[in-house]
Amino acid sequence: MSKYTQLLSEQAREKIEEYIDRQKIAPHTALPAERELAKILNFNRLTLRTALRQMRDEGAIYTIHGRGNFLSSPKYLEDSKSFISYTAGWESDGYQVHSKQISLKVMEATKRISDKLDLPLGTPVYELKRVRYLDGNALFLETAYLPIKYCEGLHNYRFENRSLYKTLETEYHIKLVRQNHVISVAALTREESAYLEAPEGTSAFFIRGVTYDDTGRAVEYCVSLNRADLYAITSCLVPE
Amino acid sequence: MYKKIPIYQQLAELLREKIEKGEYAFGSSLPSEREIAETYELNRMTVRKALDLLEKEGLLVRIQGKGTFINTPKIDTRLDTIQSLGKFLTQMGISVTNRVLYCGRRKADYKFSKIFGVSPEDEIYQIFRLRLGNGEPFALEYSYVPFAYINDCEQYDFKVYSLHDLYDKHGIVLMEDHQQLEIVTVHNPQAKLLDLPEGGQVFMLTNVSIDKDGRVIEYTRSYHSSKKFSFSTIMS
Repeated sequence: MSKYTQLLSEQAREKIEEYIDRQKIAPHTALPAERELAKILNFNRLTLRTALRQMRDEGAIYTIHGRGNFLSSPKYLEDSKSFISYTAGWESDGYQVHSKQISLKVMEATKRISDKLDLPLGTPVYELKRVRYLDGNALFLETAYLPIKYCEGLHNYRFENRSLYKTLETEYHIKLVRQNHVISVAALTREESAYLEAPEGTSAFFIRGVTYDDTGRAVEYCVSLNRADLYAITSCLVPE
Repeated sequence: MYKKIPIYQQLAELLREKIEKGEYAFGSSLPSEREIAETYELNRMTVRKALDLLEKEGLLVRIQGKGTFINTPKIDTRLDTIQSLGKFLTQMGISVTNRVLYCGRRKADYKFSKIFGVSPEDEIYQIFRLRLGNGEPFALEYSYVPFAYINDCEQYDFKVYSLHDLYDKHGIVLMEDHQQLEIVTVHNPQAKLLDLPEGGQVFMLTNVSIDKDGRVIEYTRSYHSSKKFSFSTIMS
């Protein structure tokens, strides 16, 4: 495909977006059929198809076999400056948050966990695994590791509709102030996609973070898989 | 109680750590499937599944007939400070080159008149570039800037210069960068340009830069090879 053709499909994409905007097409509404759209926008059908494919690849539209293309609802946006697993943040934005606790177990810290938490290998930790839902959509599969010695008795709570961070603050007087994240791409395994109610192999943000309290202790190592088809990360940066 | 994680995932985790710790030198080859199976007393199917997982994550590259190689290390790009990608990579000691795929003037039209707050008849300048670090593709960038802000841009060779150089020259000071990070699929020709397989997954970063007078200066959509990049943030 020549670069000239690519320019054309970029233009076609802009025209499709303009059409959607001007017609005020709502999410989950069908777009006109390809042939009709090509006529309305006055573009060659192949060019239009390429543009539509790119929009599908980027999650802007989705296709239902036999029924055509539909406008996607916008992705859930999370500010990169918020902590992973920050229930209060989503709630204050007006989303309905609920969780399903998959497991809360005791285990010995593996090499990776002990490195991240700066603890000896084998230190007992809690492993809390949850699926988090926004407005009923399964979005995040989170596993949090916390040293037992900082929060003895955590296993007595159920974290379905209880905030982990709030519990750490009120019951254990741990004030969390800082978190480093590293964000990568991963493909969901069969087990992970089952938890997230997504097709196997769906892409996910693979986010790993260590959360620190106000005394500088690493209190939590959190691993999160966030569905990339439904979620995006925003940030507003300023000069250093 | 021990959590029962499938063996292949435990092996993948072990290998991942060894790779990240540098126990297997980058660019070198991993022991063969058979050797790994013997070392850890596992069956080859398990080893293969573990390697599949790591290949999907971009940590390994398997070349038919040659073996399995450790992929080059990922660069952590800070998501929380404004930077020019070129400057950032150069600071890391990586030599940055660019391939200009297209550059030229055009009318803003509907979409960009809204983004820049200009009339659809006003001109914008678009630059499509492939960014390479040490000769390997890192990112594909599609940038748009109102022509009036950088009206001598046609004299610049964007193989060598970046938009940030132009901003400095025109006294444009960027104050805010609104970014949105997504993960999307790419097909050819973009996949090929980024040296990724058809249908590969990449980070797509959409960037709107605003200057100290509140003007929207630049809109850039870029595709970052997930083989080469991860993003990091520090929240405090």
